Amino acid sequence: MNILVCIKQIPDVGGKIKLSDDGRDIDSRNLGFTISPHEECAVEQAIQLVKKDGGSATVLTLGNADSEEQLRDSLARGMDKGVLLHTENSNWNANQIARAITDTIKKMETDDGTFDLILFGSESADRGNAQVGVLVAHALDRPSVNGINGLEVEGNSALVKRDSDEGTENYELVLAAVLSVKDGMNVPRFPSLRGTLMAKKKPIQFIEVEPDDTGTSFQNFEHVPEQRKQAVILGRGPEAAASVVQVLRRLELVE
Amino acid sequence: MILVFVEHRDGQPDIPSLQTLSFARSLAAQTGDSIEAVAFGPDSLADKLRDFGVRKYHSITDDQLMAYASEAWAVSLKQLTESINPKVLLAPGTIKGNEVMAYVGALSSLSVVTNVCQVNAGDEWRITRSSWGGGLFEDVLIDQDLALLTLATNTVEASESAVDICDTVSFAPALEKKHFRAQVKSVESSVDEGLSLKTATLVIGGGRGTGSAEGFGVLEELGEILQGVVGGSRVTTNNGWRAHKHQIGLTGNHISPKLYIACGISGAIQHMAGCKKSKNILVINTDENAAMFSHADYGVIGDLHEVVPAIIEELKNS
Repeated sequence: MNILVCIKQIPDVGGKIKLSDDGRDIDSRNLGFTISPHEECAVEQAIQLVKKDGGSATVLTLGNADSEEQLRDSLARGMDKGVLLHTENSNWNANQIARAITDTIKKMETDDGTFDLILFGSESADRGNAQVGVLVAHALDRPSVNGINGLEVEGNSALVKRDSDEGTENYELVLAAVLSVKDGMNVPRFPSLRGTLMAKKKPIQFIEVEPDDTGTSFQNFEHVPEQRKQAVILGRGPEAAASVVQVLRRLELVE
Repeated sequence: MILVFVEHRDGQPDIPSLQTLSFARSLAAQTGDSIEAVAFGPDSLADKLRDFGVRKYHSITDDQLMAYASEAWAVSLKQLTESINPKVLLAPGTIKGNEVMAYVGALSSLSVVTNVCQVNAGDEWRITRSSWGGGLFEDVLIDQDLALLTLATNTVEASESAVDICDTVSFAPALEKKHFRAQVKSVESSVDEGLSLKTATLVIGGGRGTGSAEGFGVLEELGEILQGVVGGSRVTTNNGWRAHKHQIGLTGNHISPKLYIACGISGAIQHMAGCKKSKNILVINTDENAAMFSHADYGVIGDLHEVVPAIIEELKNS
């Protein structure tokens, strides 16, 4: 079973997002980087499936040169090889990203055979367009389901579960398929020391890409006006307990 | 004309769809358009649609389309737009709404803007969408004859504004077998174990500060006394201290209790996305500079392992 997982590097913003002066980027100068929880689960799913059924698990990202760190992290967890679609342009729309990924997949499949599964995170942690998986599936003429909560592969079928308002939907897709994974489908492993050492030797292919000039054009980010609050400090340590209980009474949560 | 894709349950439009119709009316006021709706459902939807300002309802009742199939639904919507030429196709930003619209975009070679909060319809449309899990707004420009948009859920309230009459016309799309390759085979109406978190009056959340699965013991004890429900931040579910179904945050449960007691939680934006609808927030944290304090109504600076037992003691004594 050959699996491709697509991930996206994002700044680990913590409690407050700082924007660049022109509002076109996140000011990430003092930040570390990570990927979305959904994507961590997609990586874990690929590692588990390949462990069980054999085959190969490839991780792909589109981003700047530093994105190699996120590829290495996935390789340390157990993915086999990486692909970095390198660009220093940070403003790609969903259609442009999907086209670059699709082109790459087509070339890779010509050389190495079809990916039985292509996995994405349910939506990226930054823009969160929730579009790229479907766009790639359509371009490759394969079935897809977005935001799945469960996956089993049986022979040539993917048995997929997805939670909706009505309950849990069941799908049966013929492989090859494109799926986007929701956080919580599994508990992602952490990289082991041995894995981290091995990851340094695993192959990463670098491909230069640039966005074409179609579709929506990104203008800028703005902060969501928030009612920043000044918390009433009830006290320090256990001595604050009596004041906490007063608050509970005032809110009629205790008699 | 603005065409709204409406989802329904048992013949009634669902809440995100009613919000979308309400948003469509404010957009229509800008552009001077009328509102029409399309649903994969019965004629009887028309009554409710009329109450929300829809003048024409395109009903698709083909049996094979009653079970959700993303591609088949999208092909149907695309064929309808080709037949009636709307200026906008607007859908609720639900999991199905976003998925179907992604396919409509792919089929039409058009861009889709998802999770929209505001539209400024000029020569070029400047659209504000929700980004970074609701932490930022993002402005994009689109210039298309047909704008494909999904509305961020809970951006506007569902409000009625009835018109005199809503005509129902049926639409029959032309579909192929391959459009059904991803179709819902069955739906298990499972008991949602996360539901109690979503509907609880009082929620107690534990973060990194709990330190372990055992660290949740005092929170459980407080939860029992106050009849509250205990959840955890993603750190705790990721470390296996707490099951994922108990996660509070962007990728977990979205809560809206009367009081949320956040213990040992720093207040990352992903966590805030899941708890910002709480009416009151009380923070217990050793770090008085934690971001959580600037989102809270009340704060206690201290270690949850000391403060929470003291609260339990105080409640037992009073």
